[in-house]
This record gives sequence, C-alpha cells and structure tokens, in this order.
Amino acid sequence: MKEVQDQLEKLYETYFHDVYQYLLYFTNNYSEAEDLTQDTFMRVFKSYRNFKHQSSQITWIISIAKRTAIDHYRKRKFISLLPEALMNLLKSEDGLPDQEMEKNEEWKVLQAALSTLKADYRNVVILRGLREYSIKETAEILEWKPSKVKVDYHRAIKLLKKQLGHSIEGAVLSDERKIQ
Amino acid sequence: MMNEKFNDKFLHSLKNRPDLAPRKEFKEKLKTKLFEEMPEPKQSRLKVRSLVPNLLVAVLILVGGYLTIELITNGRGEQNVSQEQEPIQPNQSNHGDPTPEKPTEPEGDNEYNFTLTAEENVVYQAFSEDPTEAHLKGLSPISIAKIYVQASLDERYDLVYEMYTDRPEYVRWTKQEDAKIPQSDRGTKDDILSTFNGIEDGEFIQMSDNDGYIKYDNGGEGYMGFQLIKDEDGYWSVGFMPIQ
Repeated sequence: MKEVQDQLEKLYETYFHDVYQYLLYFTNNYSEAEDLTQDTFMRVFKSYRNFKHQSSQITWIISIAKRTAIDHYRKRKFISLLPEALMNLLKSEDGLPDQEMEKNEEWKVLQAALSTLKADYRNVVILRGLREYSIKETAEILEWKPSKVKVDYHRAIKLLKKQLGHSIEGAVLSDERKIQ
Repeated sequence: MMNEKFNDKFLHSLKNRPDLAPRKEFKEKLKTKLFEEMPEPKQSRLKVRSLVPNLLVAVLILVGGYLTIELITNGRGEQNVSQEQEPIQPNQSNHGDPTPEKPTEPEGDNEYNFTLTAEENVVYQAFSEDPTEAHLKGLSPISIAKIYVQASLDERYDLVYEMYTDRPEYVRWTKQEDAKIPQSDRGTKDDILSTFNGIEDGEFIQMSDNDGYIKYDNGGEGYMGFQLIKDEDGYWSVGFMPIQ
C-alpha cells in the first residue's frame, strides 16, 4: 500500500503540470482546466493498478486527460467553451492600435483561434506544436498511426493559419516573418 | 520529404503564454483530496470478500433456527398482531416523522423569453413533421440557431441531429451514437434556455467561407458564440457542440 502511494505521489508531482497545461490549452478556461485536472487524476489513481506499462507514463496519463476532456464536453455540450479571449478580442479589436495588439494579445489570438479547431486538430496542435511531444508519443496519446499525426498536424496548422488570417491577419503572420 | 515542423514557429507566443502555471494551492488541495479518497487496495477488499460468505451462512443458520422456534410457539397468533398496527401514512416514515416533500421541478422557464417568429414557427412545424434539412434552406443563421434551440427544448433529438453539419471533417458522432446519449447528458430545459438566452438578438460573424458563429450576450455568462458551418450545398448548418 505504502509503495503504491509513493508511486502515485511521484507520478502526481511529475506530471501534474503536464496535465494541467494540456487541459488549459484545450479548454482555455482556468476553472475547467482545474476541474478536468482533478477528474483526470482521479481516473489515473483509480486505474493505476491496471496500468500495464506498455506505454510510457506520460502518454498514458495525457491520453486519460484527453479522454476526460472529450467526455466532459460531450456530456456538457451546452456549457460554454467559447474562449473568453476571442470574445474579449473581438470586443476590443476596434480600439487597439495594431502594434499594441501585436505585443499584448498575440498569444490570446492564437489561443482563441486554436479553440475554434475541432478536437482532433486542437489536440494534435497542442501535443506536437505546443507541448512538443514526439510523433510516437502523440500517436500513442491520440491512438493514431504516426502518419496520421503528421498529416493532421499539417492540416491543423494550415487551418489555424487560415483562422488567424480571417481574424487579425497582421499580428501573427508578421511575427512569423520576423521569426523566420 | 515533408518537413513536419516547417511552419509552426508562429506558435511560439502561445507556447509561452504567461499563465501556464497552475495555482499552487490548487495543486496542494487536489493532492490531499486524491490521497484521502484513494481506493482501498484490492488485497484487503479480497480479504473482506472472503469473510462475507462465512458470516452470511452463520447469520442465516441463526435466523432460520430462531424463526422455526417462533413459528412453533406462536402459531397463528401473529396475524392479530399485524392487524393492530397502524397503517403508515403516505407522507410519514415508519418513525412517524413527516418525510420531506418531493422537490418540485424548477420553474426556470418563466425567467426566459424564448419564442420563434411566425415564419420560424411555420418552418419548424414542417421540419417536425418531415425531419429533412430541406425545410431549413434559406433561413438566416439566427433562425437556424433558434430552431435548433426549439428542437432541443422539445427533446426532438432527431431534428437536432438533422440540423448538424454533414461536412465530413466536422462530423463528430453518428446518428446512432447520438441516439444513445442519455437524457441526463442533454441538459434540462432550464439549462438550454439559460445557455441560449439572448441568441435571437445575436450577431452572425462569418469567420471563413464555410464557418462562422453567432455572437450573443447571454446575460449570465456574458458573450457566447454559437458555431455554424456551411454545408457543401451552400446552406448553413449547426456545428457539432455548437457552443464550443
């Protein structure tokens, strides 16, 4: 019993941030991210004894977080997931000078655009692009073939850029040029 | 070779969004809760389980013996005893305390003022009788959203599903899967009315050729969005999980 407790404590300390950050990117809502982090770890603790160690702990845990998030939103499809940032941005867009918006709001614009993607695309962008899991790890989490991870990541990035082009074309794309 | 990471540098600012760190107190509180509620190990439960049949057998033997002796000594006398008992009133427990009244259904409907226009009503009636999306052709995005809300309120989930987009890349689940969603997961009428409160006064914002959303002031939750997708036939449909 003590041994399992120690293992779970280590697992919690090691992966807590990964789970929370994945869920924050997915929901773009602090309260939802906390609730889902709690649900994820409850599932993890409950099923830990059945974990066969056929995959790494991190991919096992994030795949549980992913399922928790999807289940939650499927059940509560009437509850707003609309990113606050998108709404705030749309409200304030007219009054902000471009440069200021570029500086202060860029991540919010990106997050808002990310939140408009369907769940599969959102997941692949979060896992590959933001959390930088390998193709193999992403494939394990999403239960996809590696080739699908590559193709869908491309499609998702393309769609994300398209969304950004429609909302605030200048800010993000100009930054991209700067980086390149 | 396709460079998989060739064009994702623009994600840089989001990768470093400033608020990624969780609240420290949340982490600590959750840890305590998780360990307090940790399930018992299987081994100890197995031990308990193995004791249960033996205990049950012993109890049954004792009760059986006692009842046999009682039957022999009392004979038919027990019938009279039962007739002397006062009947239990429907709203009383057997301890004589009044049981709490059954909670009444919330009357949230009165708080909201959701109605279809005459024109929307005509379309909705026709759509109800013949659930094909052809009836919805040419309606404005807001009217489509309102008819979706009405169908949800009427628990006409066949209509609700028919209103979802049929663009393959946006389809999230099949009609058969939809039919299996339990009523409890679909939200009460009050949930629906509060979620879509104010949608009739919303503004449709087109994001691209094929998608857009209705921005509306919900009152309670502030601004919300209702997603619509333009199907391949050129008409607007409801996105799966439209509020997402």
